[in-house]
Amino acid sequence: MKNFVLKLTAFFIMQLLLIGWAIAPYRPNPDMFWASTTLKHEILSRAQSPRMIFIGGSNVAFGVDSELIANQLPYFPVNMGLDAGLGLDFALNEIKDELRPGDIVVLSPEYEFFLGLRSGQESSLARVLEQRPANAHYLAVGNVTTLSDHGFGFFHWVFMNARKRLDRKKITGPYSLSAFNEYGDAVAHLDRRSTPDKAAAMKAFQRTPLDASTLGVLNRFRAFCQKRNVELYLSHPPLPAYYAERQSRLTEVEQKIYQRVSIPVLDKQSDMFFPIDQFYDTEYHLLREARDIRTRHLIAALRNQLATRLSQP
Amino acid sequence: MTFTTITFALFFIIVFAVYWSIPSKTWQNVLLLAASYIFYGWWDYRFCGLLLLTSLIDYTVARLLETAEAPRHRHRLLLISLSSNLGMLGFFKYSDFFAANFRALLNSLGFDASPFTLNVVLPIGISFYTFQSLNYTIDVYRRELKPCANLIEFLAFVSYFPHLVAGPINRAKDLLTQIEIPRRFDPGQALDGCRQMLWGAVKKAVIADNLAPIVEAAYNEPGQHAGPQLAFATVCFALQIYCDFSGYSDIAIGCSNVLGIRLMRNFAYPYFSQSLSEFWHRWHISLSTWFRDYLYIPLGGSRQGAWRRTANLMITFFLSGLWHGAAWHYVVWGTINGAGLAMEATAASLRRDPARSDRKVLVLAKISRVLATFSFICVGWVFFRANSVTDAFSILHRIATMSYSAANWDPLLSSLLDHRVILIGAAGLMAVEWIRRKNSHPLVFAMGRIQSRWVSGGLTMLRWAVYTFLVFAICQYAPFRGREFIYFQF
Repeated sequence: MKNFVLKLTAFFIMQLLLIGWAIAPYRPNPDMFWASTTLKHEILSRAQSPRMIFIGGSNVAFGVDSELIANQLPYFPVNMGLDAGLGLDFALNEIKDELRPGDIVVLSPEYEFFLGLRSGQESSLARVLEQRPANAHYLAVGNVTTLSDHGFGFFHWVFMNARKRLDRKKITGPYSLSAFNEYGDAVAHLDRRSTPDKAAAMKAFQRTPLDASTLGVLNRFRAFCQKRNVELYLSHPPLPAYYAERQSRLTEVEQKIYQRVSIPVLDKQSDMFFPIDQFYDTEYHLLREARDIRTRHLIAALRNQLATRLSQP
Repeated sequence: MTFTTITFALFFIIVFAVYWSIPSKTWQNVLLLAASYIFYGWWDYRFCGLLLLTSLIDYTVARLLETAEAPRHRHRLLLISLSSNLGMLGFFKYSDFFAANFRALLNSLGFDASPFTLNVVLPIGISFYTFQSLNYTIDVYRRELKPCANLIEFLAFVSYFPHLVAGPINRAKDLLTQIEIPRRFDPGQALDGCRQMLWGAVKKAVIADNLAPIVEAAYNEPGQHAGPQLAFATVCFALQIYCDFSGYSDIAIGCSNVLGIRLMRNFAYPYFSQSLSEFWHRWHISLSTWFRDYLYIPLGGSRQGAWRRTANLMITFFLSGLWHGAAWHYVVWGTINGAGLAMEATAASLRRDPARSDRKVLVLAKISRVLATFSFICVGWVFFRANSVTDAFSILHRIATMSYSAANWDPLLSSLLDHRVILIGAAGLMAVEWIRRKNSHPLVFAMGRIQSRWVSGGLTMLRWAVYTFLVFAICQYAPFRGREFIYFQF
């Protein structure tokens, strides 16, 4: 037994050293899209109170005009939305410690959050961790199991690219750090041509059953916000109008999540349908005109909510 | 929990360390039981309840069978086990299939049947552990096995994690008896287990997972591809399913060897078979022998004439097809194989000189037999992999009719070039398996007694170099896209 364990340990150490040597040159590229996690956290901690914090996936990053909000509402907007692949748990955990009394949080969850992506995807989680190791603090148990169940995928990517010195390559365009403005909005795509991949759309909608546990997650987050004297609102994500044809899955999420959750909802899904040519590359990623309409809609809804709140004794 | 994940690697290291540091067999079994339920519950903890229920029913039935003497009483007890096991399997796996077909039948008869499906979630591995549990009660009923008195041992037997979700389907006579006795660590067995796990991981992660996209591209849109490409995708699928499933079996058997428990061999280089019957003696051996022992032979086997043999083969393979999945294309796949075997058996019985098959045949003849068998198997795989029977016929039609113009071969040539690395890898793997076909797996190294330390040391270094090469092949080529093993869906 002792010999076996020693032999096996020696073999593993040898493999680890060789693999370590193979991946040693790897450095994450500081211009990557996910590098904006550091920027967003800096903005969040720097921003003056009262703040209006937008959270969710890339529908928030690509589809909210924070500058317009800053001009129209007496709050400093911070766009923390980055990637639906981080999952619902991570998106909520990420801001929990940073909340201050008087903040407003607007959560615009991608439908995938309720359809199998509550705990995110390993590739997105690994990338925000490599860019900002402190993000490990926001990992929920589900995120850790996602990483351990699928982490080899990211390792394989690192192994394949370790010697290509990707960190030295300059990345620009909509999927780079340089795409983000001082509020955390992604803006580099706004005036680009619309080329959405319709075929790839709604994959999760078609296959994955609704994860009912997400309702509890949202309600717990609502309770947490109340304790911190923070207002929390929900907003539907934008979708191409043809999604209305597959209303059954949307209705399911509407009935089992939006109608049951104890969080005020700012809009209806029908308010957030836009023509397909108003989307940049995928569903959720709005171009300038639709982003403007969506933001004005949000501002109006938030004004209503705030007015109602202020008029209450 | 899937074998090719960090989760499983950590899980197995912990189980291994704790398992062998426990001196008592009882506590080892408790650990195996707990580990197995964690392993299974990792997918969905609710599935554990079903596994426990199946186990408890069969444990109780077997205990009652021990004391029951009257044949009628014994029959009833067996019926309880059969109906509960097959009932659960039927409900979870086939309810929607039967409902859809019943609805289609009513509609075709002019009745307006409203759509009704339960959308039942299929518990992973249910077909495997149901069959495993069933063979126990049947063996006890036949008085071929004494019922297990210890509940923990029985629960550990049914849920034993290395083979729980995709086999091999071990007989209680083999596996339960090993769980009932104390186990001693055997370094040779454990090392062999590690090697087999490595080989299985290479087959699954390097070959099967890289072939999968080629197959998916062709089979998901057969109408977009010409004959040669569809034929190529079918051969790729033959390799994919072999590497995927036998890779799983290798890892399962390897894990179990590390824990001191031997599982039955499940694959014996099936694509080198020279006949269909030989193929079915080498492919998914644990299921083939299960059907043979618990269905084909009880039906009468081949003892009651050619017609009865043909009928028995057809019934067995029809049900084997249905076991694989609740869809008609699996049934057709099973039926094709049953018909092939029946024809082969009939041809063999009509042969004037039965001894001819034992004669030495030319290498060329052997090769052509292997190729003919492989081709027949591939026709079956078309039905197995296609999304429907219609798709399967369309694929076969395109292969038969759209393979004769040079233009139809161009996409194939570019596809071969695009995937040359994986194809060379797959060919290399098959070559290694051919060379090492006398061993249970290609990484078996029996050096015997080598006197010279230099030679022995050199061979050890060579072996380690081979293992390192395989580890690096996994790191370099395994895509790890979260692709589950194919047989998990069954």
